[in-house]
Amino acid sequence: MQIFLAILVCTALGLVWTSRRAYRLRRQRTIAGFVSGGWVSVFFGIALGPSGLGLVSRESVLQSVPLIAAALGAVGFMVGFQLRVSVLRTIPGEFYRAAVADVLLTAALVGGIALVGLRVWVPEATASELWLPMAFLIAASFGWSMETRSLGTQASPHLGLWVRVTGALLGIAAIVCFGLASKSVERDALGVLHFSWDRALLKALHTVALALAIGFMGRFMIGLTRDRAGQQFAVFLGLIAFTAGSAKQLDISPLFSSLLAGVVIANLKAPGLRAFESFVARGEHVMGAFFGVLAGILLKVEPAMAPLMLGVAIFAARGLVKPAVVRIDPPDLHELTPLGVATCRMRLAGAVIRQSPIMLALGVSLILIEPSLFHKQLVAVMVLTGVLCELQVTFMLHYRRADERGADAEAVAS
Amino acid sequence: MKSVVRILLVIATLVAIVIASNWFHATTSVSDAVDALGRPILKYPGGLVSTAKAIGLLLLGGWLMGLIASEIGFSKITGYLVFGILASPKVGAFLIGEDMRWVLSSSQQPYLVLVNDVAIVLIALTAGSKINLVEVRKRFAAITTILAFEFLIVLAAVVALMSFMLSQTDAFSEYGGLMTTVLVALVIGVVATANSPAVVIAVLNETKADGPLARTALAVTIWKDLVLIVVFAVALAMAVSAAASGLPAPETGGAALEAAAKGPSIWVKVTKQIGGSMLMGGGIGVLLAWYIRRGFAHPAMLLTLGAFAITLISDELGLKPLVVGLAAGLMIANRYAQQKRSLQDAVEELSVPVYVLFFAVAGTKVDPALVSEVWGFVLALVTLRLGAVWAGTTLGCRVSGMEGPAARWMWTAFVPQAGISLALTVVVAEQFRGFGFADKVYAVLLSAIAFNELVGPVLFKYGLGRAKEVGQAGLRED
Repeated sequence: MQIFLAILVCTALGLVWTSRRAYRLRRQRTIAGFVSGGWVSVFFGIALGPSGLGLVSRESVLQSVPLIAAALGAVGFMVGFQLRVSVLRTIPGEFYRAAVADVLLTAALVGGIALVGLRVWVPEATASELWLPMAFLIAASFGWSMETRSLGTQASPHLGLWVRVTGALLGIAAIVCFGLASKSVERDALGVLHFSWDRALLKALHTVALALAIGFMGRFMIGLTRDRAGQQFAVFLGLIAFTAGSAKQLDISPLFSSLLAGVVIANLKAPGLRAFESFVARGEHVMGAFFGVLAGILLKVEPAMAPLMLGVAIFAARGLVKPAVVRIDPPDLHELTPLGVATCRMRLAGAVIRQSPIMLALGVSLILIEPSLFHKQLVAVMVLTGVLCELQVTFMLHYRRADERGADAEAVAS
Repeated sequence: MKSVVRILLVIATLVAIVIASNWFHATTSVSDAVDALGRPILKYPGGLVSTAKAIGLLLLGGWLMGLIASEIGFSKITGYLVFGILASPKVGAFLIGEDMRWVLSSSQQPYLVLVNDVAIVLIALTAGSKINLVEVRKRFAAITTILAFEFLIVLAAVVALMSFMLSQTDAFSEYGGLMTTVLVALVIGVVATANSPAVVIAVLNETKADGPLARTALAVTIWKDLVLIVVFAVALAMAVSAAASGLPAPETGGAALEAAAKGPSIWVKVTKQIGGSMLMGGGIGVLLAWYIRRGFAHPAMLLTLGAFAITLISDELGLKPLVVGLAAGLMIANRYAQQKRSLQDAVEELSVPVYVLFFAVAGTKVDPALVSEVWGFVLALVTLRLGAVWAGTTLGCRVSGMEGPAARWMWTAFVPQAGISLALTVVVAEQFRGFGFADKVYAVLLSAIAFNELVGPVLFKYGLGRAKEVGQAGLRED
């Protein structure tokens, strides 16, 4: 009976979500920011899952490991395809500088908070047990949502590009960091988790070898599709399922392996590659929604002070780090936008405080590595951080807009 | 030839990666692991983790093998099937022994079933969306005549042959003797009459064929499936009941006893199943058309999710996913003409991966060890069926007044067997579980289907070519 209710709820919500009224609502600037971060699908997942109506159990979702691994592979390929050397060369240096600044500042501040927070939360845990959770909290805090609608129509294209490109670079950094960190620990036969650097090296070699082999094969197969949608779909599905499935079996990150394979394919000149890339990009929003729902179902909310404080502390850290990144090497706001510099800076700060949707894929990946209660709670912590960030930005934008309207009215009156 | 060699090299690389990952795969089983909070960590069942790899391998390997098959003049479906057969764990066990690891493992197979079910729904949706009821009404007499002649002649021939051959063995002596033998032969006969709408649609899509042969073959195949579901349910219930009556209750299989107990209500059950499936399919068709009309952004994604939902709901309610999908497709094609094009475009996009997976998975079910045991039965069954299909169809075409190359080559459409036949065979095996003859019947049916799976698409493609209908689809629509 549960499956009927789940399908009924999905259908009803789908109908409401695709209605004209909902579409109009979604185009509003404040709503757009919230919606594009994937939070609606997370709440949808929470409503469906054991934390909500209980229509879908975590166990039944985890039975779909092949599907989830393949979806992670799809995200990896989508990101990897963007890493073409010729494109990377055209990106201005300030974008890279901002990305590096964000990685360093986030790793330092969020890393410190995570270390203290996790020690308070699980005092008996060993360093190897805290390694992966820390890597997740840090990597999930890299970057920002690549949504630019909330910047407003008057914001310059350069500003939008800055947000999107640096956000994309940081998304890649997050996947790479988490992928590398996840290789460094493993359980022995007794179930004890410990660092294993030699195995990590071996796994890294596996990842590279797999990516190279898939990359060269993928290039050849894409050439055989001759730009036909059906053939492209078969090859894409096959590549993501095969890469992610092989990676999962080899105990290496499906997301990272697929990203590397995507990079190899993107940098080999294959006939029909562009058409294939645009075909793959069509699924971006669907994948975002899919991971949102999955994360919502899988996360576990348990009322406890330590995880709550950890989430709030990371939220506060984002509020410090992200505007600081904008200030370290800011895009030239004077020349590039008709908006006032203060407004523009505030909107930009608002845009970068929002959490990156890559966090959702990383969260699902963390649970897939080990479907433990601890990992499910860690995903809940990061979702809490993300929601707090969204609320802060929504409040900031609303407050500022009221301020702008007041200033306009004064100018008209005078 | 150069491209065939390259494709073969890529397939070899794929297989090498699979073997390497199987070899490197950590085999140490971690027992009672707990997380940092001291709570137990959920363990994945064996085979589940590597299923994504198996799906990817079947998709890529099958697709590449399909290209090779097409290059050398065969149907692509034959290529998909051949790859599935070669990758099958049973073939591995036959070639290198039970203990050695092959490309696919038997622990992955149960997880591939859901993919199969979803594929059946999508194939049924395609089939339904291709049927124009107005046209069917116009050619109703011809369709029913061909269907009746082909169905009855194949059934009679196979039942006669199997009754004779099975009565020569002592497998049935303790299960009610001749009556049970004839009824089991009837079940085999019904399965032998089954065709594959999936193969017909896939070959029509691949060859872009259209014309009297293509249209009549599609309509007959689909209507036959509906008839078959009813006849099969009745025949199986009778056979199980007869076999169970020959033994004291505890010695029979659970499923068989249950079915025997439910014998009298079989008509009610079948009517509910078919009627309920058609009603639900109609409802889903209305919903899908409504969604498509609203300009939903991803019709292909919607269809995939819809197929998943149909599979889950049908399973829960005991409905036939095939009939549900068929009714949904029929509803859209005949009630919502404007949405038909969008549906067909979405289905077209999905069709390649769906067909590759479906046929490759079907190929993995072939067991060479079983084939070698019952090859005499299989050879007789396959040869007789081929002859009966030709005779029944030719006679049906003649009586219905159909002439020309379409009538001459119509029989080639009814040779292929695949998904439906395999599904019926699995049901037979399940229902006869516990009877001594179950394995033999299963082996005969499965091996015969494997042969028809391989030869059927090639024959049908050849038939369409001889009837000069290949590549006519676009031209006729214009």
